[in-house]
Amino acid sequence: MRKDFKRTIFSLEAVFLFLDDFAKKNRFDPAALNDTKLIVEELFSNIIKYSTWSQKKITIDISLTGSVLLLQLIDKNGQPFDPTQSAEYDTQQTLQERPIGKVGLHLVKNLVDDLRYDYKNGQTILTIKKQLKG
Amino acid sequence: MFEIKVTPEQEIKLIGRFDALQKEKALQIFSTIQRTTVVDFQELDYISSAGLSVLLATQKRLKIQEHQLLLKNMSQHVREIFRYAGFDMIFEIK
Repeated sequence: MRKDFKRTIFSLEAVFLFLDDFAKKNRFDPAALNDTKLIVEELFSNIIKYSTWSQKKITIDISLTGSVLLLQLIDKNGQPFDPTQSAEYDTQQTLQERPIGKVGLHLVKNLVDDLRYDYKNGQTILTIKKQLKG
Repeated sequence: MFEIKVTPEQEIKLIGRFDALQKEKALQIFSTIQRTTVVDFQELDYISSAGLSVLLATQKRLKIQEHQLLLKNMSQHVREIFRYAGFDMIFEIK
């Protein structure tokens, strides 16, 4: 399944409905669906944060092969965005040392089996693989 | 769907999906907390980094005055997210 979404945080509601629909068709358990929503929310909101000026829509593609979930977020705005190079989040920091924010991409890295970044023809393509539990 | 309620016992109850769209709504309640307060996660299905940031900012503010948020009744999924973020080290979770 593939769909384009407006580049605004308010698209999240439609993004979640799109993922609900996919999960229903593929009989996801609630935990797998929540993990998928979290991965997509964090990547989608980061893409928006780093390119508020663009009007171009963001494409989400989702498919399931056996028990492997394949997700792609495609951003045609021309500005590279590589979440694989984000700074490590230090989970050992004390409360007062912790920055507000910065934890989203760390969560994504914990939830996926593979996160790949490609940039070609002015497009950022994020490809996520996740093995769903039996 | 997301709801945030203050119970008669002055506990905060989170319900539904605490995502980036709910940040402002949650801040309106969390920013008014001045004392140690229990937050009940029983009916919370989902939390993203946006929700975590509201809790973290509140915890930082309260700890300066030697108060804190006490979190209870988390689902396994939400608890896992807290663990991945290392938030289980900076919040007391019952």
